Amino acid sequence: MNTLVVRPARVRTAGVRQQILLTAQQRLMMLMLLFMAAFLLISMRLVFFALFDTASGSSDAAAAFIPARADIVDRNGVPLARTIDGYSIRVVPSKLLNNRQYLADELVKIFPDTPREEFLARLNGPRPTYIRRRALPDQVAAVNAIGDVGFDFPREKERLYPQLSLAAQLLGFTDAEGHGVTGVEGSFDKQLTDKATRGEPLVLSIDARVQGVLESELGNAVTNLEAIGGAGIILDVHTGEVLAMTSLPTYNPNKLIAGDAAARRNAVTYNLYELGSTFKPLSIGAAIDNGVVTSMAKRYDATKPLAIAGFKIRDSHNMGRWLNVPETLIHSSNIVTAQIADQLGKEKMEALFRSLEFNKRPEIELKERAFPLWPKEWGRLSTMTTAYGHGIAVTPLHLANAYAALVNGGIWRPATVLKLGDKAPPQGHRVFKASTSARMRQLLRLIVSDGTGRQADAPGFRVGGKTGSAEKPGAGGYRRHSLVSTFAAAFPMDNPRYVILAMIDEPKGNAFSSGQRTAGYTVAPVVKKVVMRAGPMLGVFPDESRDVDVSELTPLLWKNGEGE
Amino acid sequence: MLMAARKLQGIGLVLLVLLFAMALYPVSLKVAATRSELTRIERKIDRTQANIRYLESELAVRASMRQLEQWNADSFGYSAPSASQYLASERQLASLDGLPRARGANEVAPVLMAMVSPVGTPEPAAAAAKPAPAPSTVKPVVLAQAETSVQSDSPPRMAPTRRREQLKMIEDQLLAESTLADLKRAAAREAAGGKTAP
Repeated sequence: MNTLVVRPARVRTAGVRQQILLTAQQRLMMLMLLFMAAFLLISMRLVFFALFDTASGSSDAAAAFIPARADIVDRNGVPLARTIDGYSIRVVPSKLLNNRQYLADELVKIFPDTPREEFLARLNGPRPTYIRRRALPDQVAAVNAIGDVGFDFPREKERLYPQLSLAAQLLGFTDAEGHGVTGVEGSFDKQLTDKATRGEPLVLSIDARVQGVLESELGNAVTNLEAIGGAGIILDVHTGEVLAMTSLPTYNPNKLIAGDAAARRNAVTYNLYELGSTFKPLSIGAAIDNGVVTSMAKRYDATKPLAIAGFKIRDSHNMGRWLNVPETLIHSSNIVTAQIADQLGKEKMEALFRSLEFNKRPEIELKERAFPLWPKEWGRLSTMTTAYGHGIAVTPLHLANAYAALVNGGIWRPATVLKLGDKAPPQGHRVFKASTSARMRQLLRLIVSDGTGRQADAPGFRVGGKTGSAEKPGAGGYRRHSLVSTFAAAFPMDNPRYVILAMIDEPKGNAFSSGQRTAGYTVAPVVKKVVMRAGPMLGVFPDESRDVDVSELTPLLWKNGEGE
Repeated sequence: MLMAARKLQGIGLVLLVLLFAMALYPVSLKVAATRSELTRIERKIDRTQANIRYLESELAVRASMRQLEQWNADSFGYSAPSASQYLASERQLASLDGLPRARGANEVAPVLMAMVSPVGTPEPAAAAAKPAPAPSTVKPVVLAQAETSVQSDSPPRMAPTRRREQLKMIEDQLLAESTLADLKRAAAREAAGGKTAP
């Protein structure tokens, strides 16, 4: 079989060949130009690097200096929370060389608080896991000394609270991803993580020393009196800055344990209490303001319980005589307060509580704020009971704010956890007349110097305040033996600067309180100790030669039958 | 020939530029080297700053309020100063009583006043019986003698010795022995140095 191959005939002419040659040359030329351009580009870039090389060092150095999450400091710059490069210990089970049993034994020696089985489970696990998220450098060195390549020690950004449990509920904590959950960490999360603002620390109005004093004194009292909890707050009366805020029991935000949810609640802003007699100065203040109480010497019948709508208003210790206004507060008479509130009327009473913002969540930057228990309908009875703090439940912060308004000249201002510094304090609104405020200062001082708050009288500090021992509501009425003992005070009374409120939840009457549960024996001594220790830190120095002038009221007091 | 020279002139110029460029190249190198060194130092500063932060945090933990409180409860036992420990003015400081007086500083017996009690009431009589021994312990009589002697003798000579005595007493009370020894040693060293220097 013959195959026929047809050879292509050479039909190209010389002109065509030249044409092809020309295109080849052109292409070569193009290629060369391309190479030259690339060469030029690279050399230009090199020259540029040599001349204007500014981007190499400083920019990432500046980035490294900004922390991943802004620090939180107190008003004097003491760090309360900061992010550091912490150590963590990780295990990669597939890389482990040694016997797992041996490694587990060694790990237990370093971390005695974790059971051996847990380590063994992690070492035998299928994927890399953490042995410790927050390890101390010593522990890291010890694990490193075991000498297994399966362990590695990545450095992680971790949130550290250097003051441990100090102001734990106020500061809050962060989750594993570094986002704030509660407290300041939660409510200022955006500001703390935003690249533009996180270089600057967040300055709180808290004073760490004052906070420490309040926590330790209240903590001692809660422990000694076997109470279930406590709360305390110190507020600047003129600016609304919170100097200290504590809630007990507390927790350590560095070491979160699952199940301590009760300890993580901020009792100052998130728990509601019927705060009892501490409301009396507010209602009496409103009565003076509205011209219901025209004279301090006017007497009211306190000889028998007041029966109203099938309900009897009693005094815890009946004086059995007619009382005037200073005596009402000094002996904390429910009967007289109810009568005065009745004369004041329901509209005025409701208006008072509304202007003190007892009908809203407390005004502060935190997220965890409770909504008060406001009476469902205002009748004559609720007007009378709320006057002495029953039938209305608010947070301790509400009350502290109201006391600040009562003593600072009558202006209510929202509370803040941020340091104001040179900024002007918030405008606020007027609740009491300035003259009423001045009168209330005298009355509050009298309660401490001659009344139920005698144990809070820190010498030289001119403390004035009101006790409140409210029975807690339980199943089927109020329980006589579980009290909420509160003391709301301000100092120095001749020119009030700070309001201090301390509250102990269900104190037991024991040797530390002379067998008493009431506020005068349980919380008042706490306030005294806190004022004596924290006063000088806050710039209030004791002076026994000064006091608020109460000489016009002292003759009105019945003292062993000779005061008349 | 001329053409060649002209052509060479062009090349010469290029060469000249090249020569200068080569001469300047080390400058650029030096700049680059300095810059990288700067970067290294900046990194080092960052590392040190991070380290300082870490150590500061550790210090803050160790000196936390809780810890200080516990130390105070365990071993120091400091308590808040009372109102009487605060002084508002210099005048209050000057009139402050209760500081231990230097022995012999003001050895002037207090001026004693005779108490005149109305005769006939029995109670003050009983009261007067009690403080009777008190004046005998103080010695107003000695004072009177001393004063007369001072007046008769030469007073200017008496003053400096007494003053020196007072100073010595105050020194003894205010300065601890170790501090005094330190001061003396320092003075001796200075004196010796002063002698050898000239």
